[in-house]
Amino acid sequence: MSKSKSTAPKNFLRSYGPMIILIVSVLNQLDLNYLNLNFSFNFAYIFIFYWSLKKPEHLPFGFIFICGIFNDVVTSFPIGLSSLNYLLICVVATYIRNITLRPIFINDWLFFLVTILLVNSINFLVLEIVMNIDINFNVYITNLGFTFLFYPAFYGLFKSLIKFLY
Amino acid sequence: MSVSRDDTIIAIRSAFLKKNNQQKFSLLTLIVISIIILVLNSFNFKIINYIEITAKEIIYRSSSIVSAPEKYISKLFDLTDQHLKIYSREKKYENLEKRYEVEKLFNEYLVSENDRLRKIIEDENLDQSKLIGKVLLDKKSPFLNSIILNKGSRDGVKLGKAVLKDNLLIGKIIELNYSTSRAILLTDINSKIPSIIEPIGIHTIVSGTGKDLGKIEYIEDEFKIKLKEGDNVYTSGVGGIFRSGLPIGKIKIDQDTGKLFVEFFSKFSQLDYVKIVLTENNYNE
Repeated sequence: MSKSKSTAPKNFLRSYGPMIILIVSVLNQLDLNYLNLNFSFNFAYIFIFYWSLKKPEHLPFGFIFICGIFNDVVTSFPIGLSSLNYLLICVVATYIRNITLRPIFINDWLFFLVTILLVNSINFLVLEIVMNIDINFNVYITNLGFTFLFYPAFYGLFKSLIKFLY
Repeated sequence: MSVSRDDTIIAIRSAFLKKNNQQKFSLLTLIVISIIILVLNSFNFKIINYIEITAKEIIYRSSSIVSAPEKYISKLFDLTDQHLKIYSREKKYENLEKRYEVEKLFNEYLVSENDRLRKIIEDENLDQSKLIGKVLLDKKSPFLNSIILNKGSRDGVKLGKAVLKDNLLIGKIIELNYSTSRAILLTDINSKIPSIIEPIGIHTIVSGTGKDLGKIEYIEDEFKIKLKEGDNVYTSGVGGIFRSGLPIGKIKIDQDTGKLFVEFFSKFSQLDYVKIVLTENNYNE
């Protein structure tokens, strides 16, 4: 009886944990801004890439699409842009998953860099050229850099979380 | 080579089109929807605008709820930061308070010193004939009762000048240096002061004994019987060293031996500031 009680929250976390984390990070714009650091990073990119790569069954693409819409509303980007970005990350992650037999961290990390470069380039092109919205290129590059640098830390964190949950 | 290319194509196609157990939409479908929304948005389609407005209403509220923990963490950070700042400020104030205490003590010392100096001066306008000297050393022994003063020849002090405390004679300068001088006290056995005993007006010499009392060196017997205990002794001004009329003490008669002593007016302990008489004009006042 007590065993089933103890696993119930775990089951819930197993099923909805990643989705909750993603929606919270999107609505909350999780970027450690409260630390008053002069940089930001894109947590959603790291999260989506990792979970699409390791446990895609727990993070539905439809949900990622909705999260993208939410993110666009919060950041007042054109609706659909973040969804496109997130889904492109999913595409790359799924592709890597399909071609990889034995996952190596460095490979994942480098692919992540390529992915966020691609995604940010598309983002930049859509905003600057299609939508005629001016963006601060330096902020973009800094965000991209720190997103890349933070990947190993979150990689370890998510690995532990997966170990704990599944 | 062609096999490898086929694999890549298969992998890409699979990534775009394959639906797993939990996935209801393929990535390609969703990407196409995203692009359509983007395009419609760029053309300001009304439906997209309505969706956007509705989404904003819901998402902004949800966002404020979801971001509550972060706000709380942020607040906590601010609070911790403030706390640390207050702590460091408190530490700073503590140090300042200590410094203030020291300053306060120093000020109190200055005030008391000022009062003491004022008492010495006794609201008297010091003319150039008198000089205030600080007692640097208070050398008292059975063989030598003297004080070292912080005034010397550069200040105009000369040998033999009278040293007063509260306008009462306490000694004279016997040693002169450039910036310091030594004054022998009345209690010293080498101190010999020409004096006059009033009211009968008998001239005599008052010398020190090394103790608190002075003694009358020489007096005619015929005058001796006229003296009473408590008669005042002043400087006589004989010899031109001291001016006349500086109070020295009062007569005290030893009942057993009949010897005459002088009980000095001045207290020779706790000497801190004294006056040095500079000009001889004063002696003849």
